[in-house]
Amino acid sequence: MTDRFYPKASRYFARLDPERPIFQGDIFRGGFGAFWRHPEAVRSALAGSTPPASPPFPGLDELRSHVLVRGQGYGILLPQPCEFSEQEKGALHPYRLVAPLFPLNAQSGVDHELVRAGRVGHTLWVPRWTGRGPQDYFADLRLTASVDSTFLTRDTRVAALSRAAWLAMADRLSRYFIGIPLDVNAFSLGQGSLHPDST
Amino acid sequence: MGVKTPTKPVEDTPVEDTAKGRVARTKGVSLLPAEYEDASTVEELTGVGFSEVYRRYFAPQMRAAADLLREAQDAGMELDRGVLRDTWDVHMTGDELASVYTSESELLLGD
Repeated sequence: MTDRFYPKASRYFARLDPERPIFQGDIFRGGFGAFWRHPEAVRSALAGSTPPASPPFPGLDELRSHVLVRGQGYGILLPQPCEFSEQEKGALHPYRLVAPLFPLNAQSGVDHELVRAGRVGHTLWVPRWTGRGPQDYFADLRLTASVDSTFLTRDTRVAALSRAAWLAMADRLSRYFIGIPLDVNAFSLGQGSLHPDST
Repeated sequence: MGVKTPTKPVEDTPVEDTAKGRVARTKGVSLLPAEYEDASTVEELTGVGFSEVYRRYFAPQMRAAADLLREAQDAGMELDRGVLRDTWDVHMTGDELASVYTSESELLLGD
């Protein structure tokens, strides 16, 4: 168990230059996530019963009508091989992987201190990126969605991660999706000059 | 048997534009016979020695790695994270689970 998983809040973000290429870890206004609910599960929850063991597969229209879209203002761009950076292949591919950000407040449903300590597996802690605003945020990786790159522009970007926070994000994702912590040594050697702040 | 490189600082040939020349230092790297053979083959065929290969290809990665690790340490991160956590604080109550299916979609656009 570690005492300090994330960088300090004061070292979490890079200086945001409008010319900085869009890169994984960037935070955007209007980011959102989605969860495709099974219509039978929704009906059962509303009726207070358990879902049927062998529910019929829903039709496409019913699928569409039960998707849960969640977005409370912001989202964070996650790594994906085809859009590692705007300067790589990113400008040519429509697919972007985004996790929605939620305020760490009374409605967030997670223990704030555990999130800040990196001990809630499906979350990525994100401190507030401006001097104003009452709270920090967390990304809910369970609601990660693939969205059109058109949603993400430099104009709607509000913050970008420092290299230290980028390292923490990669570690968090490795633990969440694979269950294995990042090999920091291998990652540090392999990251080369991919990060926009690398020299 | 490995082929050892010098373990003490050695005066190297002077570098152009420097007054004192360069002091070569070693981390005591040893090459396995097969590695030594590979390095020798590259040198024979290209004229590029092992030190040059290191400086051209590997040293830049080491610099980037050192920069990233130093930055992370300065930012307060604990880097010794080579073990899996044995506990995860993930809880979901019945009410929270039910809310996944009873919540309405929402979409705010931020400030």
